[in-house]
Amino acid sequence: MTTIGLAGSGEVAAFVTRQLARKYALRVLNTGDVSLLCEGAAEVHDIAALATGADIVVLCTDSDEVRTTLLRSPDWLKASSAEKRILIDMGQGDPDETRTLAKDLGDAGIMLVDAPLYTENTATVPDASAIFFGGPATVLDSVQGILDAVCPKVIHCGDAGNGHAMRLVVAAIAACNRLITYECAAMGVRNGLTLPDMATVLNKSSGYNSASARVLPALTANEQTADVTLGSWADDLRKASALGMRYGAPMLIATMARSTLDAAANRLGASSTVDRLAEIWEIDAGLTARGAG
Amino acid sequence: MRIGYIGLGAMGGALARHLIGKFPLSVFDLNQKAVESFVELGATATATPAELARSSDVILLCLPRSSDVQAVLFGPNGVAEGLSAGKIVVDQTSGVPSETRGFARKLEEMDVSLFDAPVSGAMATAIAGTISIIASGPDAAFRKALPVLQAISPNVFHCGERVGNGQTMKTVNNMMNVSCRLATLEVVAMGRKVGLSLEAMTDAINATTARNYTSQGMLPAIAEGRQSTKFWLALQVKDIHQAIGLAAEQKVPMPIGGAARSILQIGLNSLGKDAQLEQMIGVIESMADTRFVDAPKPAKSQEVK
Repeated sequence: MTTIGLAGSGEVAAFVTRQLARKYALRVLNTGDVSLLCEGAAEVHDIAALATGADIVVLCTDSDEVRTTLLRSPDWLKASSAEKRILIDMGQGDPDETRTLAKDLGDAGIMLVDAPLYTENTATVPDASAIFFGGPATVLDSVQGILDAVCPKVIHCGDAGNGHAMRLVVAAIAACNRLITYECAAMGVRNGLTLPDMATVLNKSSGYNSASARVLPALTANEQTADVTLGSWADDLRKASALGMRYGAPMLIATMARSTLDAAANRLGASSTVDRLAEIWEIDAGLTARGAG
Repeated sequence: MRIGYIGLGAMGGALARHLIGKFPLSVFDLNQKAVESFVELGATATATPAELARSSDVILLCLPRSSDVQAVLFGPNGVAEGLSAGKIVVDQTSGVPSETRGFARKLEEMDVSLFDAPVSGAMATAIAGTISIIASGPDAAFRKALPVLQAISPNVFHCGERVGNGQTMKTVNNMMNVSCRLATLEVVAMGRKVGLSLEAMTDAINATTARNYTSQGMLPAIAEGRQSTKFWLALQVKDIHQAIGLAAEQKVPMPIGGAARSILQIGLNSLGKDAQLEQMIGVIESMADTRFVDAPKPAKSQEVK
């Protein structure tokens, strides 16, 4: 049975751990506060121990600093390069740093590929989530089973680093979809429209987007649509904005979305889910009651 | 039921065409060529809106702006001069809801019902007879005119008895469409600069919660070199100004809508009043100094030259 070593932190790392533990022997190294331990997973306490006992290593952290510290540690390099290991980075790293790391580790005999998971709701991953793979197609073939265990939709995006770049593109547009939906729905309700009417008409018209399809009916029914947090989205949009600045892409709307998410995370708390963005619009648009009538 | 249709422009003409052969149809437009094309198909030309109103039970309007509706309804030889109790006016203009409510109130005094029924969708859907018709107004009048609307398209929505709600819904729809369109294009432009292909981005976006009307329609069209919209940019700007106006009236902040409006205005100022919405693709490309699709490599013979 393949043994996977997983190092990471946060809710997405916890989800990936649970999914992989169903199918593989798993050893985990926790790099943050949220426990990754689950049934079928054994804990290790340093990166060298993780590398020594695993066939493949999965990294799942959104911190470029933690990633660099782990992957440039001499013990890890020594233990991994001896076995020409494949390292799958499923966190959200900076694409350019991923490209640099992939080259440096490649020189040391380690194959780094990126395969971040994008999801708004881990409870419904098969519906509208995907893994964006950056690396050689031959490596994708060899790790497809591992990725499928996390999410059935895997998209090959090109070389290492492209997976991380693609995830930022997707995260930025998804955030814009949701923020635009709240903004326009607030305008509609204040002008006399009901949420059920908007859900019916807009989702059959050119205003349709994934957020309008999920959020408008959920607002009426007072249901949850996501478990991704405001803090996580704000992190993604910050990275996307930084990338835009580095490459000279203006992104006026996505940059505004970044500011809005940072402000919302500050007002509601970074651990609040993105569904709570509705509260911001209710207050800011002066909606005393949701127009569900 | 005798029908009259005023405003045979690109959209109005496409809508009115579905009524030919299904109802006795009278038409009016300032463009005589447009009128003649309908007469050739069996419609009756009328000299004035008033004459059209006298010979019709249901009068439909599809004009550029609410100010045009005001002039056609209440100006000299206007529709109001030919109306009588029990007749129905259906306004398919993308108008200002509060102004449309004002027209309805004025006609109520003559025992005439007016309701709004703007359309939402691409020109191709208007021609195919599948466009969305978003109506609102008194239920009795709506039900009486419903067979006429259904002759244009079976996709008819009734958003309550308050006149203007249909136009508000269309405005909300326009704003959502434009904001998502520009957000998608500008982020995809960033992706291109970082080295991602348009095809891979289209797949990734449409597989996830990033998907929207633009990612499903315009992005594949750009990749295939097809046009996906046919709409004057100046009219799109007008629609978005209307949305911003509705928000401001009700003190609703629209920071993203405001940014989208500004980008469209930059496009209109750069391209000129005859520009098409489709040309915003080039504006976004130039703002990011990139291309969504790589230019084809010159043929060998050209390289030699």
